[in-house]
Amino acid sequence: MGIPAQRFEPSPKRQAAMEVLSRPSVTYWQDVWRRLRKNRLAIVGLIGVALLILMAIIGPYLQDYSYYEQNLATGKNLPPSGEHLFGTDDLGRDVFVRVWYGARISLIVGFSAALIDLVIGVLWGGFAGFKGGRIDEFMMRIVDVLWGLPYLLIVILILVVMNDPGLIPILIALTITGWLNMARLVRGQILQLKEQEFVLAAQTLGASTRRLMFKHLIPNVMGPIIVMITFTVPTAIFAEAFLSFLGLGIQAPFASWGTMISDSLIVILMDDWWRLFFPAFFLSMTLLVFNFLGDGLRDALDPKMRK
Amino acid sequence: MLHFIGRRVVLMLLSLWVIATLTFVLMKSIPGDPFTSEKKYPPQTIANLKAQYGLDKSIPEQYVTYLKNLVTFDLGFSINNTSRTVNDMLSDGFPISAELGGYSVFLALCAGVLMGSVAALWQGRLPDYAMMILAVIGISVPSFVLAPFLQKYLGLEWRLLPLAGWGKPEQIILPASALALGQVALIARLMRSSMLDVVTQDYIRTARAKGLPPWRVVSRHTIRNAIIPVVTIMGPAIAAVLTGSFVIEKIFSIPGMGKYFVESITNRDYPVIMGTTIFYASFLILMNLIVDLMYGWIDPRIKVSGREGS
Amino acid sequence: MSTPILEIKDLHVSFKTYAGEVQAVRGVNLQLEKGETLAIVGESGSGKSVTAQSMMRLIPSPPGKIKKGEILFDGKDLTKISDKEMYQIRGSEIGMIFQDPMTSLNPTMTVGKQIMEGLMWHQRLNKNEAQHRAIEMLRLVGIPTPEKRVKQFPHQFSGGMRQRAMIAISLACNPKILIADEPTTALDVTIQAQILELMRDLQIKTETAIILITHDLGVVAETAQRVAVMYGGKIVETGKVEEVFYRSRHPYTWGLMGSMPRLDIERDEELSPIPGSPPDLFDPPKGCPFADRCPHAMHICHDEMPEVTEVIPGSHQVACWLEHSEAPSVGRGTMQVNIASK
Repeated sequence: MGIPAQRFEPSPKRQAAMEVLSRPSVTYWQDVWRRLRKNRLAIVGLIGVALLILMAIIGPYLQDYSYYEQNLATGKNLPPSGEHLFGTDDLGRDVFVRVWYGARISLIVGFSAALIDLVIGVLWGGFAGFKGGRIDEFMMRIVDVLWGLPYLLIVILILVVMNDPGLIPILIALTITGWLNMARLVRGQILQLKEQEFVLAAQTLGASTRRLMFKHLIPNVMGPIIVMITFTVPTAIFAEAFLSFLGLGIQAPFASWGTMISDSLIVILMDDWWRLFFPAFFLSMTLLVFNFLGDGLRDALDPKMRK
Repeated sequence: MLHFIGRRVVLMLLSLWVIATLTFVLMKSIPGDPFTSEKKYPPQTIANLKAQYGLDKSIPEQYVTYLKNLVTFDLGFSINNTSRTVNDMLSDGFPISAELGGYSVFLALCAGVLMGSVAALWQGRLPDYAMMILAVIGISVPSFVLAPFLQKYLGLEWRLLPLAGWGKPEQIILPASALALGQVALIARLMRSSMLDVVTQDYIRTARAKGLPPWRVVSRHTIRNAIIPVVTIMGPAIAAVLTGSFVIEKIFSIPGMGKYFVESITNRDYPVIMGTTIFYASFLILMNLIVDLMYGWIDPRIKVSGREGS
Repeated sequence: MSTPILEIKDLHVSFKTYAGEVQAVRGVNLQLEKGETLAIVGESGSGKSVTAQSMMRLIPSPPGKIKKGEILFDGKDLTKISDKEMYQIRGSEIGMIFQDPMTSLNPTMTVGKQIMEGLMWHQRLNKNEAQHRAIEMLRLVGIPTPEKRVKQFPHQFSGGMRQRAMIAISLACNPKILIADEPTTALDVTIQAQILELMRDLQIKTETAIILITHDLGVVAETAQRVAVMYGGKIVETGKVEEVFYRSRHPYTWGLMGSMPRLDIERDEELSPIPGSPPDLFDPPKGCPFADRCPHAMHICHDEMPEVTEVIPGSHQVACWLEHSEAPSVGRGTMQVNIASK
């Protein structure tokens, strides 16, 4: 066979280079951001939420009317025009201004409810999960019992008793039962994390309970917590609209999407479509963009999806 | 299994007691009593009325009477309409609401499972995108937003279905669809992700290795296992349909329980609100128990953990 | 030499991923004789499981695809026949058992039904007949009180019993070939021995040919008559178990032997792992896949894939440049000295 003999000489080893890991390391949050950016719907959600916040802030100032200013003489039920972009309602109030005023109410309710849920839920669930044993048993029994209660019914009951419709009663009612989800989630995660070696290592090094909780445990639960918050916001926004629709929430002259939809139900049978359409559209869009963002974040944060 | 049921029943009774007590405390914390705020009655009449409703006794005594009444399913009287008891209202309204709700839940379950399965089986292709867009809309459009549009177009403009009312079979379609849509969407999404999870499982590969054709693998193995998580959200789904019925019954003028409830809220008819709330709560808690039991039945692994008492 | 019941010729299987195409199997040739046990050994990623799954056409597709080659069974090329024909063969002519018995059984279906399913589909048995046969199969694989067990769910079985049930499922229709993909890897050592013994017994009773996929040479020694050693998507050495174990010719096989703990011979040196890691199959080497890790690698090894040399014609084959007449003479002992002296 015609193969030159020198080709059968021993060759230098090449294996040393092969044992080096070739992929650069990325931090967890860089990785999350990279995945989130790739997800088109999540980006639509992110931009949508940003636009919504922007319009809630500046929207009411874009037209020269206030949310309560009535024009009973000449301005009732005007269709959309250059003067009134979204038309006017049966009292001659500008629907454009009222819609963005409603966005403010919705976002305030959504974010406040999420914030209160976060604080109570993380503290309650974190404490129960961290302490374990009897304390955990007792604290989670309370959650289990409250969990069995129908959420919106309790909220309705509380609002009826407070008999003082408005933003603060709605927030109180929403957060009385809203933190349960968060508490369960945080507790479950902490229970799992607690068993892992790095916690033991930190304890061996003399970390205090507080340090262990806030430096080691909570940061590792941040992912699921963020996802849950993203879903709490639209739930609270929906609840506020629902309650306002039932007449238990924000009352005239203040504008809420729920109240605006409820007030314009009768007109649907006539042709004043804009009074129903705009609040209904923006309520749905708000829920939509938060859901997109939540889905995207969940996918981006899910460690199972990590390659 | 017995241990499992026993635990659930105890939790259920606890929840019921909490809601009964909570309702009582809340109602007692309203300043004044139902009669002082109304028209000026002579003191004697008020005293008589109070005696009639047991309001002259001490709070603990009232609480005990109240609990006794609840145990015997006596939910009290309406103040605005003294001739009617809350039980009367429930017996008028509940069958109607139950029918509407039953259809909605059934529709949500069937449509949701079907849509989720189709989306998963055609993952990443047109049916998947179509279903998921529909599902996202379903989740984002509240029933009280959807309902008026259904009324306007299907009822008024195109005259396909009755605008509102109750009694004829075709009158049930619009309200039931409006109520179901959100739940269809949630169930479809859950079913889809559950199916996608199940198809990667080893036992699906085993089923394929047996030589079963794809439709047989899907119908006997994939769907059967993928549906288990769907059962767990049936409790919340029933609750959502029930609360949704408050507004849907109002919008479609259906004489169900939700309508009475909303009216009692508007009129601040406290005994009716109280009685209805407790009834709703008991109903939902009972439904949750049934769903839990169904879960234990559909997933054979649960029974064992129950028997072992974990 | 009789005609083999299964013959694989030049099989190529690839997987498309976001990072490129993984060439998992790159030209595999194999024959399976009637009634024998053929073991395919190799480390993770060597392509042994993909080869096994290709025979059943169970490669997840997409992303997987049989790019080239033939799998001849019963006069048919399994890579070409229609899906319908394949459903008739799977489970009926060729059975398969998998690595993890904990996850390979459907948790919501009774074990009996899972055995009956294949029977009712392939042999058109009615429910009673199928159940009767299922009980018989459970008894055959050594499960006590099969009449009771047939109505139980997988979670009521222990790990070893589940693997027995898996074997019952795969053998229910009397297949000619049984493919066992790491059947004992997930089991306790004592259970492993029982399962292997069961497979040996069943093979004698049923005359089923077995393809055993494993990374455990101990399992090979206990069960197989012939063995094929895979590395980097290729078969580097095949032969009778004695030939490959005691007179192996390929440096990778030497490495495998050297890294296996043994009690039967005394040795002074420690277990010697093979240094380095398997080749990147996104961009496979054009020469011998083992060249980069081979202590005897020559220049030619990196550039050209060696031809298959028949060490014992029709039985022991090896693909290595050391077989070439120009190559220096090295032996298994040299490698051990070589590594021990480092």
